[in-house]
Amino acid sequence: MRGLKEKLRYQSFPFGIYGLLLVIILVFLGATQGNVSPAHLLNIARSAAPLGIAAMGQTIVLIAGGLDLSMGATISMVNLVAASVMNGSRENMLPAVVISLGLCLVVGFFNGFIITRFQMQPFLVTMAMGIIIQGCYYLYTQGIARGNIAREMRFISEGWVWGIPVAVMIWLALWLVLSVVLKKTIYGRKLYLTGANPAASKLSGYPADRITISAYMMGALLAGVAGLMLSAYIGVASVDMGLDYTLNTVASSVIGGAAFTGGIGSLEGTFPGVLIITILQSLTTILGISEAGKFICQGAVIAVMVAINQRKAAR
Amino acid sequence: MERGKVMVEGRNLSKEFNGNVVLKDVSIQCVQGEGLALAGENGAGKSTLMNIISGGLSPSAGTILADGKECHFSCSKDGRKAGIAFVHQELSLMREMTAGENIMLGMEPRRGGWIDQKKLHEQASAVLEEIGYDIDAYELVRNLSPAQRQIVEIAKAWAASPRVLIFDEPTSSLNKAESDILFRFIGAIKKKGVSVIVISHRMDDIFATCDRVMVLKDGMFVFESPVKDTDSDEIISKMVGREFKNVYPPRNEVLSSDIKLELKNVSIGDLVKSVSLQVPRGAVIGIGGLEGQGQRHLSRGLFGIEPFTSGEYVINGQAKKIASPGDAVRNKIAFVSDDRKAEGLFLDLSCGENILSLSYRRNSRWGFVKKKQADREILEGIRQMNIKLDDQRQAVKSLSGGNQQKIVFSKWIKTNPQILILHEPTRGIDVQSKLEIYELIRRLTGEGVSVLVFTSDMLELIGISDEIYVMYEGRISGRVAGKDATEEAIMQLSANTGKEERP
Repeated sequence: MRGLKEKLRYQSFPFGIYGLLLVIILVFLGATQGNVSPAHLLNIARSAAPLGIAAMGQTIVLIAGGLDLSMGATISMVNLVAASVMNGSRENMLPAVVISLGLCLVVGFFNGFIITRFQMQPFLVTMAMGIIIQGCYYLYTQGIARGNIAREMRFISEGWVWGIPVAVMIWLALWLVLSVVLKKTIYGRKLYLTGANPAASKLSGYPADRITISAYMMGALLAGVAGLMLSAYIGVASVDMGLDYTLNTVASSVIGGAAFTGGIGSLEGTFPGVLIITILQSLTTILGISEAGKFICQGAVIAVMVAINQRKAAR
Repeated sequence: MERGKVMVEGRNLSKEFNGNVVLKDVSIQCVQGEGLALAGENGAGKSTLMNIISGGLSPSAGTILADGKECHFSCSKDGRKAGIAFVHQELSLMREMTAGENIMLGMEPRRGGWIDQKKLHEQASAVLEEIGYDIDAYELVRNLSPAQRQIVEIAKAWAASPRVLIFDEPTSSLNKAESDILFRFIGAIKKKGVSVIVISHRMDDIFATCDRVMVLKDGMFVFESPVKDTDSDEIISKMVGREFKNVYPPRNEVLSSDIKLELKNVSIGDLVKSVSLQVPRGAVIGIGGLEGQGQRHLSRGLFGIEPFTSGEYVINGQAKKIASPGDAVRNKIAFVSDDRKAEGLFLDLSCGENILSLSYRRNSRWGFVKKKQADREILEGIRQMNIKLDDQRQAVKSLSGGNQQKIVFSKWIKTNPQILILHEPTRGIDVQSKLEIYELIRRLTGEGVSVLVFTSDMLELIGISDEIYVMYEGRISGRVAGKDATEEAIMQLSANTGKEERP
């Protein structure tokens, strides 16, 4: 055991969080007395996919030393814009997707640009951005959400291929690509380095500001993809649909080991983080725990995981 | 006034940090109405000793007595209660508060539960007046000059009416006239029976204010004498100790005529004024002077962090525009910052990642890092620099200062720099690492690298440099060949009192 511990001491893979995920799955199986089919579990994974994709965006922003509190508003915006442009018709699908993701890139760019250019706190800038986006879509919809999603588009959240939900496939594919980008490319490494210490990054001759801006743009783009998937799930426009996602993305990332100090965190950690949050939600429902109890459970899990991650980081 | 009463005394004090012994069994007495000078090199333990006396640190062994009674200070507040005040060298003022509020911090006059701002500033003004400086107590600290801030710091300590007042390098940001006012003030409070301790390596401070001098070296007192029975040469020789010169590798006797880098009348606003210098191939050029004479800005200008506002920057005979660190890196310039934690290292990340942070391009293909090759390169860097660590994946922050600094050097050396700009390259590191870094510098110059060393450590400046430029108020006040340099000559240029030796 000791030898194993020594060996794993400097290992970056977040084993602890996978352990917690396993425990939660076992509790879940116990609570349902084993009355869950694999399809049921996959269904939970399917409903977790939008959060999973957005949380990867949040993790990337956190790694870059930032924080994006406009993510929920971005998701809501994508839903409203996509639904109203598409208005149920197949022909408008492409323009709807292009316009809504384009808007996300604009939001991400301004987040990053304002933060780096004026040296402002990410917390404040993105919170303000979130409120502004919310105001804009209230204006745009005049308070009544209009439009719906084309039937063909619903495939991305409702479809199953070879017994696996399409939503989960998209999630895993994005995870694979982004993971390679973060871990294996120069760009990814510089993202970590810049997040860990922007001053040292600048003195290393990196385009630190551009790297930070790109992280916010990636974050917003992933929130946009999550928004599209969520819209496909719901099928219609719905005001403020994504607001819960802001804090849930942060919670998943933090449970998975991302730190507010920047430069720390990984997508391998965020993946179980998302599943833990989602399973915990269904578990509390199954166990008949009240709404208040759900919040307490979630809060406790976040607090405990953050404490564990801190101890690990202290080494 | 009775004289000679011991007010505060430290007996057989020792202190160690993580196994590093900083003080070894030293005893010290603060005598009423006496000025005691504490001299010693950087890292000799002066500040540690004073922090123990004032309660900021607790000793590993030994006792502190106030008025003959043993006491245990657990924080500097206990020290203040016993009448001990410490004027720190690093300023600890709150920038967004007025000078008066800073001075009266913790002693604010109250009226009905509220702070009486008017009375507070009146009292603060009275303290400033007593010291002899004209500073508006209502001015915000952020609008004050470094010298004024130093005075506010002194006023803050004096406002608590201490019986023992400790100064850490009090004149480092003061000019001659300002220092004289401070010396008069110190003389006056000594007459009132206050015990004064001055930590300084400026001989002027010691002779102007003190009655007794003690020299600390490597955590022990090596010399004690009444000031009137000694002179600066004796004190300096005691501070330095003997064969310290041997730690520096041999220097280049003949400088190459091939000029690698030349500055022609460069300026940065008012901070660096019309500086010209030449760095030959394979030479070590030292830049010295008192703290805050523009060395920091010059070093940052050279690396494009604060680009020069005028003048010419010539590398290998070609005028270059170095407007950002990126430009500097592309021109094969490396820069070791004086603040390695804030600017040199990615503390939370692994040692390997830090070492590799500047050589990704070489270790990648199409934007993808080649892991095996990169790992080889990291291990080679660790071996080459003799960095002591358990695993290259461990976080840099877990290493000692010396090993951290070696990581900084390692990452820059991997870029094959032609010009190396070092700012305080051995600050806060152990002696062994220091020696290794000196040897590294000489090895690199042997390969034709040109080195500029900015250092406030006089012995290092003299020991390592082939040629020394001294800065004073943003200008070069003189230039001396390394082999002829003496501390006195450099001090004279630093204070701009000597004859000008124009390059």
